[in-house]
Amino acid sequence: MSTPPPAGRRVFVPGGAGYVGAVLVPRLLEAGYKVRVLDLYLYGDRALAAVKGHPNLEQVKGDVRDTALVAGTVRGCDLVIHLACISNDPSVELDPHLSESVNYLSFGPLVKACKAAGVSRFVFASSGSVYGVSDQPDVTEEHPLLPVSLYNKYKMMCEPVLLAEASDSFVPVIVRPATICGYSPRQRLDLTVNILTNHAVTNKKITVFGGVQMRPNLHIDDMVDLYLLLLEAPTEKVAGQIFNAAYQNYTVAQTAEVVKGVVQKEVPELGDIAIVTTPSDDIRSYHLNSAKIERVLGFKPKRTIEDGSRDLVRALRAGKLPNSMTDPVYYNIRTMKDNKLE
Amino acid sequence: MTTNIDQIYKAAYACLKAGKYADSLRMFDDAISMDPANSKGLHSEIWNFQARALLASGRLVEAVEIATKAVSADPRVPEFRATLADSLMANGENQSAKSHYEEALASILPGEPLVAHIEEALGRIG
Repeated sequence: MSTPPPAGRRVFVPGGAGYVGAVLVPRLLEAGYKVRVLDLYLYGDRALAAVKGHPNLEQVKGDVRDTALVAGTVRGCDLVIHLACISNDPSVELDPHLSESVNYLSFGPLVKACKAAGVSRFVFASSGSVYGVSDQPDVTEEHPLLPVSLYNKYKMMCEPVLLAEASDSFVPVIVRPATICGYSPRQRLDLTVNILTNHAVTNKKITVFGGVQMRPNLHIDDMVDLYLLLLEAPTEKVAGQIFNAAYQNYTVAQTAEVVKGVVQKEVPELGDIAIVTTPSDDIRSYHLNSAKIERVLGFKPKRTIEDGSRDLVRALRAGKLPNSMTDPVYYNIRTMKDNKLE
Repeated sequence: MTTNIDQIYKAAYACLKAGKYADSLRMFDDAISMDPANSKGLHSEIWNFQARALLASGRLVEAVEIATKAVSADPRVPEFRATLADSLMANGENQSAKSHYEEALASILPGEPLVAHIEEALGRIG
C-alpha cells in the first residue's frame, strides 16, 4: 500500500500543548499537516505561541474526559497522536481519583470516538517505565510489565484498550519512550537531564544520590521525529505494534558528568561545576532496548544527552526560562497543585 | 585507620546504615572538622545524614535543627527536603512537613525510590 502524502491530512493531538506537543505541533504544521489540538492549557498558552494563528492549526481548550467534546473535536481528523495525561509519578499521586479519570477512564471512550470518526491511525504515547525496575541488561518490548507507580500502571492499562480496537481501517501503534530531555517552549524542569542542567547552571553544583542507577533518555527532537515517522510508516510495519524508544541508557553519574561538561563549555564564566556524589543504598535502574524500532522502522535517534543539555543551557542563558528554580510552570506537580483540577 | 575526609565520610555512612548512630554522628563531625572551609562541598550532605542518624536515635528536635541547616545550604536538593520533612513529621509538625515533601517532589529525579517514600508520607498526613 502506498503512503498518502501528508499535505491535507489532519492530525488530532490531545495534550498537544504540553512539553512534547509544543515541539511536535509546529513540526507537524511544517510538514504540511493540518493540526487540531485539544488541551486544558493548564500551563498557559505560551506552548504554541510560535504557531498561533497558523491557518492549519486549530486549538480547542477542553478536557479529554468530555466525551462529547472529544467526539466533536476529532471529526474530520485522519490521524491521532495521543499525548494527553497527567504526567509524572508525583502529579498522578497528588489525586489518584482524578488521575485515574484523566489517564485511564477517559481513554477508552476517546479511542472509540476516534475510531467512529474515521481515524485511520492512532499513535499512543505510553511510557518506557511500564516495565518497572529490572536487573535485565536488555529490556525489550517482551519484558513483563511491572509498573511501580500509578502513572505507569495507567499507561500500561491503556495499551490493551487501544489494541482491542484494531481493525483494517483503524491502526493503533504504541510507543514506550524513555525520559525525554531538551528544550521546549513549554519547558519541563522535572526530568532527569533537565533537572541536572538547571541545577548546574543555577547552583553551579549537581548533587547525585547513588549515581550508578541507570536512566534511559531520548532527546525531544528525536521523539518528535519518531511521531512523524509513525504517522506515515507502512501499515504492515506498525499495526498493533509496540515500540521502545530510547537512545542513551546512562547512569545518573554519567549523565551528571555529561551535563557538567556541557555547562562548563557553554558557560565558562561559571567555573568548575561541582558534582557531589552522596552514597545511597536504594538503587533502582531502568533501561530500555530499542533494537526493534531500528530494525522494523529504521529509526535511530540522532541527538544526544549533550545536545539536550546544551539546548537547555542556551535557553536558560537567553532568558527564555526565567525563575527556573521557582516558577511552578516548569514543574508539573506544582502547577497541578496550584490548579486544583477536578 | 581512616585519615582523609572521603574515607571517614564513607565510614560514617556505613555506620549510619549499620545502625551505629552514635559512631556515625561522631565520625561525621570529624569529617566536617577535617574540612572546616567546606572545600569538598560535603557539609550539607553530612548534615543531611546526621539528621537521619539523629532521627533514627529519637533525637527529634536536633534532627530538625540540623536538617534545616542542610536545606538552608542547598535548598534545591530534594533529598535534604525529605529528611527535614521526615524530621518535622516525627515532631508532629505535619503541615510544615507537607510543604517540604511537596517541594522535594517537584525536582526529584524520575523513578527514584524517594518518590514513593514521600507519597506514602503525604498519604499519612492526608
